[in-house]
Amino acid sequence: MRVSRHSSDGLGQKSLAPPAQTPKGWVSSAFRILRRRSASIGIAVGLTMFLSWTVLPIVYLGVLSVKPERLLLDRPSLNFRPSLERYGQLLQWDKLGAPVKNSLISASLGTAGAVLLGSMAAIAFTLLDFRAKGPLFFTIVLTRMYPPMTTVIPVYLMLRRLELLDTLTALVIVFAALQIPLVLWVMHTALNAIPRDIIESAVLDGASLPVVVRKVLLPLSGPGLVTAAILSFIFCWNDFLLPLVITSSAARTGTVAIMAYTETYRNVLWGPLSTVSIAMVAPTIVFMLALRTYLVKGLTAGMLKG
Amino acid sequence: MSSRQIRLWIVGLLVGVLMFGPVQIWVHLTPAKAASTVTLNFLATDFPEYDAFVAAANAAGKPMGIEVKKTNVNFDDVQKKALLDFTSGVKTWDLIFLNSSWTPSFAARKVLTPIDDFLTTPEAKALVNPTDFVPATKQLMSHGKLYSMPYLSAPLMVAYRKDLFDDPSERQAFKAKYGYELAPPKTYKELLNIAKFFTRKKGETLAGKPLDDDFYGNVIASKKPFVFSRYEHMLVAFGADLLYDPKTMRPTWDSPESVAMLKYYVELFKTMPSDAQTMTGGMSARFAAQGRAATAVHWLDLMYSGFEDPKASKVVGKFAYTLLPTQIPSRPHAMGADANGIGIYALSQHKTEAFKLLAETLSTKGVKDFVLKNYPEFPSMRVSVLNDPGVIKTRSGLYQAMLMVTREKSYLFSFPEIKEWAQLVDIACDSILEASTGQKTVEQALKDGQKRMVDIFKRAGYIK
Amino acid sequence: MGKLFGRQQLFLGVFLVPGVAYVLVWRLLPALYTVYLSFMSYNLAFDPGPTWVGIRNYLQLVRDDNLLASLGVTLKFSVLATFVELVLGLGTAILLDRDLPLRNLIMGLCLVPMVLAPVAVATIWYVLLHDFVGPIPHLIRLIHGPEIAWFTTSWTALLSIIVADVWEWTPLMTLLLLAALQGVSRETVEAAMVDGASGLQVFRFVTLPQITGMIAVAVGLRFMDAFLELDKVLIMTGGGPGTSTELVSVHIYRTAFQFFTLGYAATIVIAFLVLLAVIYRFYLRALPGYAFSASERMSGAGG
Repeated sequence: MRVSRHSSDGLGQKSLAPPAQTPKGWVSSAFRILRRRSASIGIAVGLTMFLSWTVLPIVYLGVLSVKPERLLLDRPSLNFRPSLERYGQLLQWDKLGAPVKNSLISASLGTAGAVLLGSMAAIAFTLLDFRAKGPLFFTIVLTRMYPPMTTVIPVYLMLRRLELLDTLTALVIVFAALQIPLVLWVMHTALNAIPRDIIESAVLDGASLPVVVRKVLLPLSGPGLVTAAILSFIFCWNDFLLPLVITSSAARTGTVAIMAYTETYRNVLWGPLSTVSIAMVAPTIVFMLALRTYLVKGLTAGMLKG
Repeated sequence: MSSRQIRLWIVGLLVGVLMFGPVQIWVHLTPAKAASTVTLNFLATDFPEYDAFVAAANAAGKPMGIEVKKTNVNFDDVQKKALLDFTSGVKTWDLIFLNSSWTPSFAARKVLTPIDDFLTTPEAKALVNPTDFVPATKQLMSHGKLYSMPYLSAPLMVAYRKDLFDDPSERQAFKAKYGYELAPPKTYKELLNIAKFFTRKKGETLAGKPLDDDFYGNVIASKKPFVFSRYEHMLVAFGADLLYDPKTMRPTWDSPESVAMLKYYVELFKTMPSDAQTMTGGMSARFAAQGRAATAVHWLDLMYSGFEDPKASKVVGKFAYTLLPTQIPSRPHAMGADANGIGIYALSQHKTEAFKLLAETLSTKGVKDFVLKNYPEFPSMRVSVLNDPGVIKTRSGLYQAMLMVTREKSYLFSFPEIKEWAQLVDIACDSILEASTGQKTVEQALKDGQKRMVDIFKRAGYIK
Repeated sequence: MGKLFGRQQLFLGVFLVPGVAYVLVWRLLPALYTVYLSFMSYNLAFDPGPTWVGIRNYLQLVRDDNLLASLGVTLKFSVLATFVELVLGLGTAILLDRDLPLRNLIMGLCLVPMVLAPVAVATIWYVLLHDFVGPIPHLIRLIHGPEIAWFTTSWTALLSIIVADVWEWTPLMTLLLLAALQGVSRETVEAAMVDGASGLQVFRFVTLPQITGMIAVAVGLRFMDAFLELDKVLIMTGGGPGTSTELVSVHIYRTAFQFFTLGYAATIVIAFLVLLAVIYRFYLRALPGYAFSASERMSGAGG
C-alpha cells in the first residue's frame, strides 16, 4: 500500500518520539514543562470532558430506550427498573424491527452490489490500458463528489417510471450506484499499491487472468476491500435523503422511521424513537470500535478526495 | 495465527453475516399470505379516531375475511403521499383518510373513487343511507360527487376554565381591570383580554393559590400545519378571504383584514406557552388538561375526551365550552365545516372489499354501535346518531356543547375549491409563525407570503 | 500492463463495463437531467410531464426572498459550526497528541459520533434538549437557570442544530488535525523550546504554521458539508420557528417534495452547485501550496 510512514493511520502509537530515542539533557527539560503534574491533570480533565461530551449523549439515548413506556412522559429521571420490552419488539420484523430490517437488507445488498461492480471495474482500471482511461476514471469518481440532492429528483422520476418506488429493490439500486465510485476509488488505490512485478511474474508463470485475480489481486488488496465494504455499508445504512424520497411505508428504512416517530400527532413516541435509534447506531459504533483503522483510513481519504 | 489474521477473519465473518443474513431473512420472512383474508392498506395518520376506526373495521371485517392495516404518516403528508403515489401509479393503498380541505385536490386528480360509483344496488344505497348525513358532508363532495364515507365532523370551540371564571377574587380583579364582568368570551377582543388577564408567572397567585408553574391565558396548537386549521376560522371572522378572492383569483393574504388578524394572533400568541408553535392539537389539549391554561381553542370532541379523562387530566369537570367569538357582526361565530372521511383509493386492487367494509362499519347502525360501545365522544356525521337519546345520555356535556352550534346563529363557511390549497396553507403557516415568533413584522411576513402565493397562482395559470 | 494479458483484455473489458455503465445511468445521467429540468416547469402532483419555460426559473431565483433568507441562515450555520468545530477539534487534537494509556479505546470512542447516522445524531440532541424529556433543560431548571425554549426561538433553534453538528463533526476535525500535528517536525519544536519559548509561543510560531494547510483543508471540508445539512433540521426544528432554520437544502427539499415544483427545485440545486463550485475555486486558490501536500499525505493513507 502506498502509505507514507508519516501518517500511517493518523492515529498510531507514535505521537511523541519514544523516550529511548530522546536525547538527554535539553530535550527532557523541554518536555518536563508538559509533564508537570498540573499539566497532566489538565490533560486528564480535558480528555474526560471530551469523552463525556461524546459518550454521555449516546448513553442517555440508551437509557431512554429501556425506560418503561409509562414513565417516558415523566420528568427526566434515572430512577426506574429497565425494561427490555421494546428490544423484544425490535426483533419482530413486523413491528419495530421492520424499518431496521429494511435498512439491513437494502444496505447490505447495496454494498454487495457496489463492492462487486466497483471492484471489477477497479481491476479493469488497474490492469487495462485504454485511451480514455484517465477521464473515465475521473468522471466516475466525480459522481461521488456532487451531493445526492443533485440527483434525487431524476432518480425519483426514474424509479417511478420503473414502478419501483417504495421497494427494497429501488433502495438497493440507488445505494449501489452511490457507493460504486467509492469502492472503485478505494480499490483502485489498493490495487495500484501491489507491486507490478508480482502480477507480471504470476502471468509469466502461466497464470490466467481469473487465477491472477483470485490468487494475487484479491488477497493482496484484502484490507482495501474490507475498507470499501464497511464504508459503503455505513454510508448506505446512514443515508436519509434518498430513502426519505423514494420510500413511503413498505420499504421505509430505519432513518426515515426515526423521523416519523418525532412527527406524531399526540406526542413524540419516545420509546420507539430511542429504541430504533439505538438499533441504527449500534452497528456503526461496533464498526468504529472494532475496525477503527480501516474506517479512519477510508473516511479521511474518501472525504479529502470526495 | 497472527493477530492480523484473526482480525481479518473477524472482519470476513462480519461482512459475511451482513451480506448473507439479510438475503435469508428476505427469502424466508416474506410472509406467505393466508389466501382467505384480504388485507386493506389504510393510509392515515395517528389521530385516535382512526385507531378507533381500525378496531371497529377489523371487528366488522372478521366475518367477511377482511382486515385493515393502518400506515401512519403526518397529517399533512397524507394528502401529499396520496397525490404523489397516485401520480406515480403506486397501488399499495386501499383506504385513504380524507380531510375536507383536501377534497378539491383529490377530486381534481381523481385519487379517490367516488362513493357514488358503488351505490349501484338498492342494498348498497340502503346501507350507506346518504340522507342521514350531516350538512358538513358537502365538504367531502366535489361537483356533486361524494369522495369519501363521511366519518367525523367536530366543531372548533373555545374551552374555558369555569372554576376560574367563577372564582370571586378573579371576577373582581377582572372587573377592576377591564370594567366589565368576567364571562365566556363573545368577541375576539374579550378572548384576548381574558387570555392576557390569566397569563401569570410562577409564584403569582391564581384563584387565591400560589402557582408552582407558569400559567397561560390561552393555548392553541400552533405547529405547522395545525395552526392554520384554527387560524382560518379567525381569519374568516375578521372579514378576510380564505387566502384568495375566488372572483379575481388573486391571493389576498396581505389584505388589511388579514393584517389585522395576524396582528391579533401575534398578541394572542403572547399569552400561550412558548412551545405552542411546536404543539399539535393533541399536545395543546394535553397542556390544558394539565391545568396550565385558562382557555384553549381546539376541536370540541378532542378537548372533551382529553379534559374529562381522569387518568390524564388534572381538570376533570372544570372546563366549559363556548362558540368561537365574533369579530365583525356580519360574521357571527364564524365557523368552518371541517369534515373527515375515509375514501377508497382509485388504484386499489380491492375496491369491492374496501367499499363493503366501509359501508358496513360506517352504516347508521354501525356508527351507533361504535359510539355507544367504543367511542362515546365520537362526533359522528350521522344525524340520527347525533340525535339519539341513548347517545346523548352517555356524554351530555359534550352533546350540549355540540347542540349550541345548531342553536346559535353562526356564520358557516366552507373551504375554497382549489387544488393548490395545501401549498397555500403551507405558505400561510410560514407567515403566521414568522410573525408570531418575532422573526418578521406582521406586514413583512404577509407581504412575503403574498408574493409566494402569487407565484403559485401564476404557475397554475390562474393569473398572468 | 494490459498487454500482459493479451486476448484476455476482452475479459477485462467485461469487468469494466457493468460498473461504469451503472454509475453513468444512475448518477451521471440524473445529474444532467437535473440541468435539463431546471429549464422546465413541472409540478409533480398535477402536471403530466415537464414543459419548457426557458430561463423563467432562473429569473425567479433572483426574486426569491425566501431562498436568499435561507442562504443567509445556511451561511450563519456553516460559519459558526465550522468555527466551533475547528476550535474544539484543535483542542482535542492537541490533547490526544501524546502517549496516553488506553489510547486506542479513547480514540475509538472520540470518533464514534462521525460515523453515526446523522438522523440518529439529530434524535440524540432532540431528546437531550427537549423541554419535556430532555436532561439538559431539566438540569438547567435544577440550578434555577433561565428557561430556554431550545427549539422555539430563532437563535436557540439554530444553536441547537449547531450544537448537534459540532458534536457529530468535531471528531473529524480532531482526526485531521491530529494527523497534521503528528507530522509537525519535532526538531523545530524542541529547538524553539531550547531557545526559551513558552508553550504558547511554540504553538503559535512553530506548530501552527506547520498545520495551517490541514486546518484549511479541514475547514473547507466542513464548510462545504455544512451546506448540505438536512437531517438535523428536519428532525429537530422542521425549519422552524417560522422559517428561521430553513437551510438551503431544506428549502430545496420543500420546494421539490412539498410544493412539488420540481423544475424550480432543480434550478435551485444547479444554482447552488455553481455557487459552491465558485467558492471552492476561490478557496483552492487562496490555499497555501502545502495544503495540497497535506491533503495528498492524508489521502495516501486511504489505500
